[in-house]
Amino acid sequence: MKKIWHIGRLDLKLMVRDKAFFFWILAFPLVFILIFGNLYQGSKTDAKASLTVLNQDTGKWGDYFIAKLKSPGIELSVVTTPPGEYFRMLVIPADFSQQIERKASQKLQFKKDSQADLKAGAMADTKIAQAIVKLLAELVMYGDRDLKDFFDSRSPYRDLVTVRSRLPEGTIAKVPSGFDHTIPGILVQFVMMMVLIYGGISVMEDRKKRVLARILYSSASYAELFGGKFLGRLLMGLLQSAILVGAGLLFFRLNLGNIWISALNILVFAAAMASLSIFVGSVLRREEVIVGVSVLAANMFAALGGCWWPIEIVPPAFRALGMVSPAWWAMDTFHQVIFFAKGLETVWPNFLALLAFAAVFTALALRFFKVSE
Amino acid sequence: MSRTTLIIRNDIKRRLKAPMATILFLIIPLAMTAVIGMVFDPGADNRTKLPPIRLLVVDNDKDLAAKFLLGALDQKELKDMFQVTLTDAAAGEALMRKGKASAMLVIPERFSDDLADQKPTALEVVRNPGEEFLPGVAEEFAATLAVGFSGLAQVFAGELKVIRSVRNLSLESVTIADMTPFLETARAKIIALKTYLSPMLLSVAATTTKKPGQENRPSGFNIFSYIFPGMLIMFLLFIVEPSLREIQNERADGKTRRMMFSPLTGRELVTARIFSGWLLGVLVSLLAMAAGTLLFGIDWGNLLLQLALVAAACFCCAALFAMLNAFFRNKNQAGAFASPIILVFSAFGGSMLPLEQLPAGMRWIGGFTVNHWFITGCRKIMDGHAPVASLAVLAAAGLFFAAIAMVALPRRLDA
Repeated sequence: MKKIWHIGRLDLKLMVRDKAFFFWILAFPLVFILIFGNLYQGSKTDAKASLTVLNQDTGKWGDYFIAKLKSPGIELSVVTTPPGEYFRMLVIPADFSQQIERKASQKLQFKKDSQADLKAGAMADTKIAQAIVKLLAELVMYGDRDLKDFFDSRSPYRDLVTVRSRLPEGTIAKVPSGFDHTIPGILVQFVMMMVLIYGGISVMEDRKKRVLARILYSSASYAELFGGKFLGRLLMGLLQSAILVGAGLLFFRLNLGNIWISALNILVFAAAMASLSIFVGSVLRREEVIVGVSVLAANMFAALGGCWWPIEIVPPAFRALGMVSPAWWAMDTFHQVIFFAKGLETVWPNFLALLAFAAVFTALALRFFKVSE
Repeated sequence: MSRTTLIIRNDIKRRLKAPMATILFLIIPLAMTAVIGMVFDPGADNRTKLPPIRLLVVDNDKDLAAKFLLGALDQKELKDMFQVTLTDAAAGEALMRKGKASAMLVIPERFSDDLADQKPTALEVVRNPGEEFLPGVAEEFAATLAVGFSGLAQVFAGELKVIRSVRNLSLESVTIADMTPFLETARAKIIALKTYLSPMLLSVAATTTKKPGQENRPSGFNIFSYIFPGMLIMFLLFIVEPSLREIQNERADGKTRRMMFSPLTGRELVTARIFSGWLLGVLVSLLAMAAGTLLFGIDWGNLLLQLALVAAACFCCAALFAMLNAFFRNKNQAGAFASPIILVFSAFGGSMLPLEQLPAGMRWIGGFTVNHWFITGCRKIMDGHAPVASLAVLAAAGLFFAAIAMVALPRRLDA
């Protein structure tokens, strides 16, 4: 056991000494977290569905309609001359009041910037539709009378029905942030990439430079050598995870749910990747090929597993296909633990699946692990 | 045959003898484009569709308004948008705890009665905490339903009361005289409804605007042609980089020193390496573009312009790595820094995320990357324009990098 620890620790030490280590393990994943975390939170300037209303109306109805548009979740800015820049703009024409009083149908121009946030745009669409419904309801209640007297004898619309929103009982209490969704995905992807690339290349180089063979000249056995290499790669994955989780807790108030189950998830997933990296490093002989295979495998697993985008927006067939990726099981465990506050009684099948991946990869690694060319 | 040509020929032969890495870096952008494209393909109508939103509905009212609401959810447009499952409160809550639906809409008890009595009431939306977008869509839908029901309840306040009282009576006890005032007010409202709703008094015509220099998605938009150029340039950098790093490897194992015994100058060696990197890049790009057309139906636009753009981009990549290798002290440093540089270029230059989705600051930094100019150039050609700015920037940057490499790299080889 001591020898396994010694070999594993040495591998980790060599990795930490690498010049690009901090870029790969910390800087680059953090850039990813910042980009994707903010992306899912929407644009800061456009977060509250900003809506510019160009009110050119000469009568009372323009202002009255704008009052109907006011609602939480929308940031109104009313102007009377066309602005230079806007995310989306609703134009109330000069004859708006006249047209309404004549009971003539009219279409309001709603201009959206092609690069504005789509989610905020959908919110603005909904709020405009709701304002129209409110105004029409008042007009219908007013009946067929002359609309010139509307403001003196109208029955104002009231929000009789409201909407209350909550999270399911027994889950979390706070709506998760974009970072709560992003960080687990980036963690899983970078553990895959780091362990596969670094772990695979170092196995290949140690074999080529006969480092593995020389270790066997010592009192270490073949099993201890394999165990040490496995442990080294496992430690790489755990170190990568620890750094990202630490950064997440420190800078982004990451919620990991039950920390022990999340840690166990990381451990089992990193173990599967450690075995896979030994297999990759054992069957491939060139550094560029290992990098290529690792990048391909990590990216495909990440995409299928839901590390890149919320899994709910992908087509159902694609979602089912995702189960062939170990990342899918790790991500699903994170989801269950972080967002649904689930315990081992729920996520044990996920751990079984990840352990099965680890077993298959270990069997392959053992079958192909060579100490010399 | 000149010494430079011999080195180029030898380099290409060596890469062809061990083509696995190049093939892999050719497959990766194709595979990634396929995956991203499959998820976000907007389809024939050019609108990215969300999968149907799984919505649980708990009907605690079981009366007129609830039936009306459920009927609305049965309309075709809403059926396409929502996959509705009617359930009871306990089962619904259990399903939500398991994350089996995006949201649960709870119609409260006495919903119909409260509407008839003009009393405030609330629809409840239970959100799936594990999902980011779809619960929000369901919540906004519920808010729109709430506005609609509020409006209807106020418009037909009197009628709702009458309907409720009539339901409690036997038909025999209701006379025509009882019904006349009710029918008269209903008639006035129906006339008003007709006036304001047919045609709609107020509607919205949405248009998409663009700032100067921005491009809209053309009709027949192919998402693969939107993604693939970014992926291609990222992996092109990975393909070209080892050709130039080879200089460091040869320097480390003494090959360069042996080569210099022949009448070969440092500049000839650097020129040959840049050219072989460039040639390999161009060949791989052409293969990738052909594969893109075959697999994804990408229309690259004017092929001569694309060829010019690829040539300029590959020259820029090769010259960039030649210059960087002049500053790397040894092969380990070159190996350690090359991939991070490529990934940073790709993240800021628009290979990993569409340029439009990047924050303004990142987009500005992206202007200093090969990726940015290649991607914008590709889009220009696909839109039927000449990528003048991209060609000029890539060629000028390539010449600048090459000039520095020509001076600095031979010195590094002598060191």
